Amino acid sequence: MDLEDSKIIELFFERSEQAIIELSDKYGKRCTAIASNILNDLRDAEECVNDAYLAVWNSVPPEKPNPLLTYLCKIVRNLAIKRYRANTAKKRNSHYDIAFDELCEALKSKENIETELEEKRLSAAINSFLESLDKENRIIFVRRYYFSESISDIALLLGISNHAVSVKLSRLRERLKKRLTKEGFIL
Amino acid sequence: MKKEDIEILTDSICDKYIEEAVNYKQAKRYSKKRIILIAAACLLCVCIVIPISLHTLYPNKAESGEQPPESNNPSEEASYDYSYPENIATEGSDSTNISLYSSRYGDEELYRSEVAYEYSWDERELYEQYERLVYNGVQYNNIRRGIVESYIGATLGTHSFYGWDYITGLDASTEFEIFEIKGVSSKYRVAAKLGNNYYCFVSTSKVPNSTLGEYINALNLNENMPISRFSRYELENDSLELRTYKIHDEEFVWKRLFECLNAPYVEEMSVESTWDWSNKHSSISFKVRSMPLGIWGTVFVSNDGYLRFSDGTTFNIGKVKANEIIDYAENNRSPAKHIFNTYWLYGYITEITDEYILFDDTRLIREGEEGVIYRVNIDCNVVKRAIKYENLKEGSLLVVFVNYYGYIDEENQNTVYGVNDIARGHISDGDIIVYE
Repeated sequence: MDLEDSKIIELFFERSEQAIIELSDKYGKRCTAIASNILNDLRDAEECVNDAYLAVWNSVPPEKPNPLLTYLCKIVRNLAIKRYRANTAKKRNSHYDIAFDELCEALKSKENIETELEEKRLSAAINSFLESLDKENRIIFVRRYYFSESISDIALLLGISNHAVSVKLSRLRERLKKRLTKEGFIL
Repeated sequence: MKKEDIEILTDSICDKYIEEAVNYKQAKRYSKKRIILIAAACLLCVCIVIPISLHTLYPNKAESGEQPPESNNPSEEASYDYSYPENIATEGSDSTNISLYSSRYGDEELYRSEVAYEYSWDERELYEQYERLVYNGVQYNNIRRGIVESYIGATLGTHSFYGWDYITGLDASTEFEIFEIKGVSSKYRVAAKLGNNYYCFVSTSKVPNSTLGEYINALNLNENMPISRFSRYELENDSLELRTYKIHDEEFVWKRLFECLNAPYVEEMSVESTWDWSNKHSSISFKVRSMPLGIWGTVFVSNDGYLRFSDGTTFNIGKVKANEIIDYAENNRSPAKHIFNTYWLYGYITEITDEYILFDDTRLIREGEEGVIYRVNIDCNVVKRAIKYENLKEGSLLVVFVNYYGYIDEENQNTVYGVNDIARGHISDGDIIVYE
């Protein structure tokens, strides 16, 4: 039976190594899947997840993350992308590449983000865009472009066809492009 | 934008959306010996609901350019016992015209995958084109539910409607007249006439409901939405079967709810997704539909004291009241037919012209039933584009999806009214598959 997040956090605060075991038991598979989507290599993914556990050990306390899973997933994703970039000499065929290229292709333009203020505006724009979507579309977008999940995995999760996911993603990219164009990020 | 900018974009997604995505779990689907529609295409799915008070007789002749006939005389009888309600205080019949025709098939199941065609602007119906309107500074969204004319109240004037052509990326706007829905606050819902039909638009502004009584009053809920039928999956011979029941006293639930009109609104529960909520709270699920409100959904009553409507609005009615309702439903029920939002007919095309399609179900119905040749008029975009994209021809297996208020005109070549979609079907392992 999985321990509640608050109990796991308590173990971290007590500096008990049981905290890592409980974290791994509860969220290990999910984290490995996220890392695998980006790294396309199970061994690399497992190493990445272990690094993520260490990162949590080093940050909790004083951090008291809530929700714990989201905190952990972000760490895993960031570490995986970092490792992926270090591995770019190797063949590029991970889901991360494919998903990232999809989005780049849709949003390409000559304009660049130059200032910190523009970065903040861009952050606001993406979240406002996500706010305007219904839940299913938002989940499809985040799973694809944040977690780099494959189309077939997303289709399986939502109980719809691969083609339907592809079409929805295509429409979402178009809508995002339209939004970013309106806000001046793309001319 | 450089690639680095795209990275900033994705890295900026805020925690709540990451959490939502990482925690998402799909609802389980069970399909056994019954017809189930899997997934609904946002482009093609039109769900029209009416109150389940009496049988429907309302053919959507607007789709063929004619005004639909109406009958407000509950005593009118026909061979298949239909009549049109003046109000919708009670549960409807299990035996509408369309449901009787639709129940004549064998044990084959109908599977429909997600339809993913992107239709051009001109191929879409008006209700598919215009998705939102602005009234008194508030955006209202088109939920694509039709509303029968007799529920339409006073005009609220002409207002701007907006749509988006997702193929060209162009915005579109125009004006239509909007109307009150009788007995329903226009702060919640209004109706708009798009073409020959009225459609329900729901306010996106959160209207505060501090008590159950206020919510009921604002939507005239007890008049507009009967709560007397519930469904659940039950284990039978190692398989899960969907069973539907009707409670003996159809007014019981509303009577109990009227005893707790001061039940407080629970905000934090209303923002939870219904799936997550129903996973946490053991509850009974009443199936409801309401024409004036454009509702087709579920009302949950949980044994820890919560009442949750299909729009997520949740009230704390207390464990005692909640369990009174649950206990009554469990112990005072009779099997009932499952009610559908959409019915379906299928058969092989025998003739296809510029004006109509004829299809014959003789080879597909149960033994002992007599075959019928139906007619579908080619007079609306829904049918025209299906012919174009589905490559329909004589001999093709045709599946016709009909709104539950639809109607077979037996006096006129069994013409099907209330069609909301048609598609080509394929037989596979004894079941019927509708591909995208």
